Amino acid sequence: MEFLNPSNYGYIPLAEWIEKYVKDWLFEQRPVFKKISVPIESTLDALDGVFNLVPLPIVILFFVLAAFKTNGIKFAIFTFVSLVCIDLLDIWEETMTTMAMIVTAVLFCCVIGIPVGIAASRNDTFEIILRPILDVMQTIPSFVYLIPVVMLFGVGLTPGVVAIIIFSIAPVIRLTNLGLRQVTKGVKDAGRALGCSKLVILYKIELPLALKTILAGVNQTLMLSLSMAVIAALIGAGGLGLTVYVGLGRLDIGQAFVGGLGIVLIAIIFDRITQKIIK
Amino acid sequence: MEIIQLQNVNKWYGKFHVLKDIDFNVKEKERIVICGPSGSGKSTLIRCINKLEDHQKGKIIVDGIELNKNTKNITTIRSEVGMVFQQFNLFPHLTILENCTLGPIWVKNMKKKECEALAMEYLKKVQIDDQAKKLPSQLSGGQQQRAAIARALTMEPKIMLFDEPTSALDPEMVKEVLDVMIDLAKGGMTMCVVTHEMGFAREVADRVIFMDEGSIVESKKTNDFFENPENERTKTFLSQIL
Repeated sequence: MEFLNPSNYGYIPLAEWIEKYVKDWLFEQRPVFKKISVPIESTLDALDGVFNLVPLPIVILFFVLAAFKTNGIKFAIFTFVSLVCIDLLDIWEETMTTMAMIVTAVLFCCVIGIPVGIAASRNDTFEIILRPILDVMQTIPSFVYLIPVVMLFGVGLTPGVVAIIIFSIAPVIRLTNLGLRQVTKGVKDAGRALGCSKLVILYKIELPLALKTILAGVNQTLMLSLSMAVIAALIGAGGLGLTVYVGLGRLDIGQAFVGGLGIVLIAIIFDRITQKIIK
Repeated sequence: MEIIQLQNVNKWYGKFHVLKDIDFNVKEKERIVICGPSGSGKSTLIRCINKLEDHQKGKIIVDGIELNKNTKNITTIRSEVGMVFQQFNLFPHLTILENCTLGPIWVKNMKKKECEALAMEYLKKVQIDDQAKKLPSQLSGGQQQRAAIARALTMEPKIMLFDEPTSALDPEMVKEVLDVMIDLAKGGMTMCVVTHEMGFAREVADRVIFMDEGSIVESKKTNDFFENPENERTKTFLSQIL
């Protein structure tokens, strides 16, 4: 039956085509993308500076206070113990780098994602086109797009953040869209009947009503970006991801575990604090 | 003077012909009650007057301005025409006072202080000034509807449209809303009211219009409408609800 196999009669050289055409094109585009990444890079540098220059006790104090304000005394104690442990595990600097990466990535996810989500909620065609793109961004194995990211942006922290943004932007777009679509027609009609412009209806009525859903999306994006932070280490992004990655490379289970533990701890802290802000 | 003029207005939802050749005029200070079975197009008709719905054929002229695609005209007309909805449609994230001031601040560019004073005045008129700082969900249905009326009035409209304002209320709350509306009518407001409250129609309406299947079937002075309805459908309808 082997004669029935299609591959006996032809071959689609997709891999070769991509190698031949897309690769060159990607390299040519490099200067353009380098420029695009400038705002990301400067934000990242600024935040990295802040997190690493501010004395450790003040950073701890800040998070403990935030934890106390949002979740109360128990969680404040947990936050304090976690952050002290992070320093005792000698991964403080890496943790701060990861935090800077995550915060930058989430910031840009919001700056890009919320307007895209708003556009999707206004326009059904755009939403239909967008949906599969978001599916691809979320499901495609991250290793596949790490290579073009490296080609376009080089290696280092910034490309790492770009990869994180691509991977984790979907929820904030989806939930902005969903939140705005859930605002009832009646309330919008009331705004229209008063004579409000579309912009006023959006800012004063729709966005405030969709806020909880949008923030739930931001929280999801934050969690995804933490999980992507480890993989971003493969393209030269430092931080806790690098600790894990180096540990894996040397089969040093201990070090990999310590890096992983750091990620888990800041994930819990970030998650609880943002969850409460949503409420 | 005619403040609302509808000439040969037709509207379709897809293939469904909701409004059929509607000719309908309202004079200044006139109070009109529109009634008819559900699905007869009465809500759609008054929603056309402030262009919450588009009509496909015919002319609608409100206060001398024809409704067309011109957004500036639409904004002008909407700020002159207040609307009260069946489901109140208060903004749930804003206090009652903020509900009232949103329009004046953002549409008429009024100063916050000024329109807060104005809003309080109207909230007092509908007797819920003591609830001004509360959220809509903390109020009863009747109070919410009165707040919605105050919200519309704070825009200082020339015309008020009511789309079944008492249909979503518990029976014991209908009266408090109707009282506010009667008060308003006696104050000389031009009003178009879609309602099944025939007592209200008898008390304040100058004219009653009966709609069925997208057409105006009967339009008469209030007394005439109740005493000698001509059309068979009007008679049946009246006998069912009176």
